[in-house]
Amino acid sequence: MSHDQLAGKWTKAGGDPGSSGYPDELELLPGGQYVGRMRPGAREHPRWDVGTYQRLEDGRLGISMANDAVARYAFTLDGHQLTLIDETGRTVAYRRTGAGGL
Amino acid sequence: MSLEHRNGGSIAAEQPVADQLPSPGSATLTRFVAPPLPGAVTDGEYETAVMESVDEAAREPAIPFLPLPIRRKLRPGCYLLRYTPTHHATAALPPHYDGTLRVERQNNTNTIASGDLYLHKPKITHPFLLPKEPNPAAGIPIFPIANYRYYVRVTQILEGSATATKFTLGFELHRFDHATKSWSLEGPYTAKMRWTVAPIGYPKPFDYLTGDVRNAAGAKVGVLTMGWVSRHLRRAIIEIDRVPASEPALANAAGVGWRELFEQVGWDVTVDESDANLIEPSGASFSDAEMHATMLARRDSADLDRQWIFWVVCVQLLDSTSRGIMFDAFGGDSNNIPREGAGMSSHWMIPDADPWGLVRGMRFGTATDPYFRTGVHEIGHAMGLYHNTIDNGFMNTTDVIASNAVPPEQFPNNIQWSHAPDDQKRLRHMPDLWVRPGGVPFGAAYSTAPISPNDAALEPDGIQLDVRAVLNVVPLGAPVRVDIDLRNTGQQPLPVPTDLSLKAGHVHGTVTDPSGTVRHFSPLVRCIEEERLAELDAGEPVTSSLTLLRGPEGALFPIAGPYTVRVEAEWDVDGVLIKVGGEGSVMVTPPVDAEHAEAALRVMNTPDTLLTLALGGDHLPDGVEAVEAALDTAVLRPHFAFIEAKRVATPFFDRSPDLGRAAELLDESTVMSAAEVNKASRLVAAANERGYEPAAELVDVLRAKADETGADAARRTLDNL
Repeated sequence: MSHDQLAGKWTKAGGDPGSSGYPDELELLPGGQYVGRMRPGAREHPRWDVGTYQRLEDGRLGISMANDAVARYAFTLDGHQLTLIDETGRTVAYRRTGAGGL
Repeated sequence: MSLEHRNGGSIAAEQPVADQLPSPGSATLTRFVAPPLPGAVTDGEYETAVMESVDEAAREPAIPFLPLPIRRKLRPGCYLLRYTPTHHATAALPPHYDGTLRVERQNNTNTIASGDLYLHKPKITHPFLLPKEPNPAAGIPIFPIANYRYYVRVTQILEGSATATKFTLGFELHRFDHATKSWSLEGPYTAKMRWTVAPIGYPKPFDYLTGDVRNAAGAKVGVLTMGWVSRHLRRAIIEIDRVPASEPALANAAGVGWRELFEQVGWDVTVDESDANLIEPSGASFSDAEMHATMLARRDSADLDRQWIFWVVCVQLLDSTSRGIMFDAFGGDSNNIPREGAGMSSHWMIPDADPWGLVRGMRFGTATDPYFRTGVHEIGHAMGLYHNTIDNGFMNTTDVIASNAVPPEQFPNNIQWSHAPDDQKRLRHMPDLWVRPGGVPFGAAYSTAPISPNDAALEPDGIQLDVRAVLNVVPLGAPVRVDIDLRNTGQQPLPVPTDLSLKAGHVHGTVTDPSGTVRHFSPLVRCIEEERLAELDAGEPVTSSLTLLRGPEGALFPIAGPYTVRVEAEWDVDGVLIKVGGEGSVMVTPPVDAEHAEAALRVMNTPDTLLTLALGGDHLPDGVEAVEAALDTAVLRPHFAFIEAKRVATPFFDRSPDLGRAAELLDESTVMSAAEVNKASRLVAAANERGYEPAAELVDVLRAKADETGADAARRTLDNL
């Protein structure tokens, strides 16, 4: 799966308790960089704010976080639904809302 | 808003008021007779040497000058703050709040201030000793985290005209809840702060103020005192430990290290290059948990109530990322004391591919600039900062900066060696618990913490600042001359500064290089004894010229390519800050030969060149020699000829003005702004008055330059010779 398949604008569609730190809006850029944003008034800074994402050798998705750690996520892309599961089993889901591109 | 305080002259002897508390550091209330208070703060402590100013305004004012009184200014830096609520003030040992107030002055008028308060319950530890109070002679005080109570959000420092010895401080207190890690507003307050003489122990006896605090209803609720203790705003220690195979991240390739970089934001940073023999617990690569455990075992001090210590560990590789990480966050904080440390990897191999530019294929620890930058970036996270892509500053990510390089410039030459402006403000003015290690956890939104507002500046209609380079193309190493016109485009006369030279203190600005790096310039010397404003008639301009060479970040035009020069003029009218800006552009061309390159390098690497340019004189041999080296090259000579001519035409102690040498230097190829032509003409006239006959060739050259640049004042001066 290439960056191009994931590239685009995504809106958070749900998630387990404790996933509130993940951005409400996520823009995955074709070159492997991303920008995450919270809705106005959010109490948390997005764990994914600005960074990179890449498909890892084990099939998971590596996404750099706000403190520069690269977290690994199992993920599924089902049509316009992207679901990610972190290493503690917490799930967060996104719905595609726009095409990719810088 | 402005911090100025008009000082009408000396102050009568002060006596302590009845309800004045013993001040921090003083053993007893002391009766004293104060000497006259000094005038405006004019010493050089906060006037960074950055560039030269050339001329007074070229235009005669429309009406006579309106001189304003000398203004007393609140000295920038850190103040020891004490707030004693009224209901405690009558107690024998009243509980009170100690803390710091940070005063930042940007340029001459724009001021931002903020503070933090910590609860202090004095205790008698010995029957013959007074309770211990913060020692103002020890510099910036540090207080225990558990005692933190309030952020002081300063909203107003001067409104309208000030009296001779007082100004009104408006502020909000935001109480911190340690359970929820959040602040809540308790209410607005004002304090009429009055300058008085500091108790013993303060480094600046006349930078001490006291005032009654009143709530929104006007009722007195406490007493506030503040005494200046440091030119810095905050202080911290950065301890650097490493495994033997890793390079310590101490400085960039130009030798600029932590201390110098954090000077830019007013932090007094001490670097502790400590252990170089850390043990790798499970091979070359460290997990976040291993770094955290190593930090707890090996750092020199863990007392975050007495010191702000940030720990940097340089290891070969990191499990959880490539280059660096602030590991003390999210799940990596095993001791629940957040943001204490960061790790970086010296043996990550930079991909041998675009966009890694000049460091592609290198081991990270040998790529000095990006390696050190990563350390500063990670400690930025430890100081509560998040990623910031507004420019190529420290909190942008390395990937993004590498991608931002615009050929012919390559990464890492496009690294901006400063924090973005909004991050600079956060480092200066976010609450202590946001930036200090062990404070609030990493991950809360910036909006959850209070921060003092910027100065409100009025950008009036009808005023326009035009900025244009005297030459649109200049060779590398040459100063860039910029003409500025402040023009009244409205229908009514407006009060404006009569002098737009840098030394008058109204003008400052930035230079943006081809990669987007922003460098600043502001006065090298500033004359603020008197602010001169005059009504500028509709349609009329005030003109001046600037000659730009260096700023606090070094040479302003260090590489070839297109530059944007932004000039801002600010002044204060009855306490209201007026601000107007304009931009111009200039192209810097690359060296044409080795001789030019060598002279340009010497000029750019010699800080005294700026001082020679601005101050003249014979006392700065490095600067004089750098200018002479430039004069020896055909390319740079026209750009430096006036600088040298001005120096030799100005008497220096017992050296007489050498108009003959000045005449030799100046010819039709000499690059001069209108302001410089005016200055040269005045020097010739002054020498003539002292009996030195100017050479006819010199006068002819100046007449031609006056015609060329429109320097009317020079024409008149020369006609009167």
